[in-house]
Amino acid sequence: MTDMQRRQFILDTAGFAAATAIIPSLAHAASGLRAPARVGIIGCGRQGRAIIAELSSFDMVTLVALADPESRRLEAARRRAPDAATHADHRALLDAGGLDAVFVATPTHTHLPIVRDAIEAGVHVYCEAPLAHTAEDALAIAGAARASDRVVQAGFLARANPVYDLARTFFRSDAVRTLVAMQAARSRKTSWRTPANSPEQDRALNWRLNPELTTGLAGEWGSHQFDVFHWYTGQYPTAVSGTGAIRLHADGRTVDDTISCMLTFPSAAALTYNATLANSYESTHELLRGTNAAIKLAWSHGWMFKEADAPTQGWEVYANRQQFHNDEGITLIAGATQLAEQGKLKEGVGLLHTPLWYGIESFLKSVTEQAPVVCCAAEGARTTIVGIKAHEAVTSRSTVTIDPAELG
Amino acid sequence: MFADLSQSAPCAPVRLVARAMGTHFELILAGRDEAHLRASGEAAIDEIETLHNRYSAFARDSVVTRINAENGAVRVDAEAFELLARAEALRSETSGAFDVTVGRAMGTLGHRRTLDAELATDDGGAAPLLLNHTARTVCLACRDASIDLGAIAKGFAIDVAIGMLREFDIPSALVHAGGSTIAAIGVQPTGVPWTVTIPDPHERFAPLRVTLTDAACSVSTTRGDPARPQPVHLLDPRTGGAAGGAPLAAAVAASATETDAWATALCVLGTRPASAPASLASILRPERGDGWHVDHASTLDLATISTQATNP
Repeated sequence: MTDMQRRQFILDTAGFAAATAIIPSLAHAASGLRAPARVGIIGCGRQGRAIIAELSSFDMVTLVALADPESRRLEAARRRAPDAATHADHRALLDAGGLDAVFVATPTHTHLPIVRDAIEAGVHVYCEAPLAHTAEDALAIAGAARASDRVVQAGFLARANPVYDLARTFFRSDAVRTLVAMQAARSRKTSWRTPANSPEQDRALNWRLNPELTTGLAGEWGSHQFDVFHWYTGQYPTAVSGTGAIRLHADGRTVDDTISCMLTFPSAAALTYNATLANSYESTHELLRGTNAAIKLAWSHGWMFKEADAPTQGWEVYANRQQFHNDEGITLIAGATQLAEQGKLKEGVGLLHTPLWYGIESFLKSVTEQAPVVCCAAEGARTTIVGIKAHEAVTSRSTVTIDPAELG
Repeated sequence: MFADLSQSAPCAPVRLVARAMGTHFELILAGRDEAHLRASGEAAIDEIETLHNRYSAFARDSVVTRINAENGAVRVDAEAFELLARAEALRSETSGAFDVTVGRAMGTLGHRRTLDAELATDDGGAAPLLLNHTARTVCLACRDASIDLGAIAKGFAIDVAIGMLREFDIPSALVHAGGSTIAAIGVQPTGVPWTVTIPDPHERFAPLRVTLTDAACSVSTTRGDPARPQPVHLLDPRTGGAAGGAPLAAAVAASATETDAWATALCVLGTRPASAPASLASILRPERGDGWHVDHASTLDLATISTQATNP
């Protein structure tokens, strides 16, 4: 037995007990989970594999099953989770039983039957957002969730994000004062195309570029950002206008690679939204402009830019600040008071975990501790439908009205 | 929009660039279907960026940061565990010349976490990484040690990218990270193998040319980038000081993970150790001597790699 083998033997026999006696990891302490949860992942593409990576940091969760009809994706996921059973479809995964919850990370237009089957099987569901590609499907998911006692969470991640939650307290505490304008954008230079080795595979994998199935940039990307404003203002838009074009990826597609939308809210300011696959500058962000301050959010970070004539609060003297050309922003740091007491304020800039991690944490807390669901299926359906409407406006190059009754 | 282009003429190579791991990754892909080449390259870049976020010591939520911050064992997923296990094995194979626990040198001075004596290795010091294969946990043995995967992560990312490109049936590709680790699929569209040129840092010898076909090559130097001088470019993990082995070393093998790690180790050691695998070719530019030292190139399939050196 080599020295390496000897040490591994010692570790294998003694290490597990030691591992369970260690001081809990930050993730465990932050999550507060009291009971182990057995979970499965349905859909092993990029998002499914991202969920696998995040789950590994939760001590009280066991990933026991994976499902995907595409063998390459399933194998790639299995390499990251070799202890999980693999299945070719969600039905086989659910029929195998033994699960507390599933994560649904399949193409948007396939969510409804999977979510419905999972609820009927008695498991809690985390469904990636947007929930569906049609309003009918979105409302059906919300209806199935409402009729069940299972936790059904929509994967709109802003509501679980500590920086966004902190910023919302400032927004609702009148720090911003009168809201005058809202903006959001997402930019990434990419073709949005998934490589395929056959026509059948291309149809299955490139649904985002299929005009019959996609909700385009407005639905797939925009809805995540629209939800921020829905959550902050408590309102949903009553109309959306849109336009779009293919600016870079002239590869035969008909789905726009660059879009612009304006969403009109009943009493809040209008929201302008831009998204492009042709440029990466400024990545993803949301902006709320008010007469006293502006709040800018960028998923892992947030800032508040106060007007010169806005009243100053005492805590601002000690606040961490960041300069952006002519503007100075107060960095919004979750847990700032405690960090400041420890002299670690600067270390708290930015999220400790990914936004997805917080979404998963909140879901698991709902499952194991009956914590409130941060984004329930009904809220998720409403935002999903707004995204669908925005896509309609973009493709028709027109204004589409949104009747509140349509949102469920 | 899926077109059968199998009988079409090749399209112009597609070039994609991404910033990750403190450098630029460049992918040059050749084939017949530009849309497929681009989509495949973007998928590979997505994976490289994901790996950057997962393994960067500077990202607050990376696997490495979690392990470094934790005063105990950290559970990781299978991919991370395998990478760290391989890194630990390479530390042993290189007699410590390659070591991802940058602060391990501090450990030899006695700043050690509480451990059983029987966990010590033959060289009198405990291994810096404790790996529990059953629980899939990783623990730093030394209190002041920390993991930095800079000497292996780029190679690993390139291996992952190459693997993805092969799955997408890309016939010809070159992937490199800042020019220091390079991997190739097939040959260039012209039929000529991909060729890497390694210059002599002392500018006394003619550059070395390495041809790659389905292989990888990494280069490590003690001098670093002249445009961004640093007090110590390459650390000798055994001493904590500047590496003084060879001004330049290179490794050629099938895996970029291996070449990335071994190029660093060879540069630190200044010589090829007996423990180096037979499937790895080594290239050393000694501080003094009459030219390049190339070892084990002849044991590799000559259709995969060949070296040509012309000394004055």
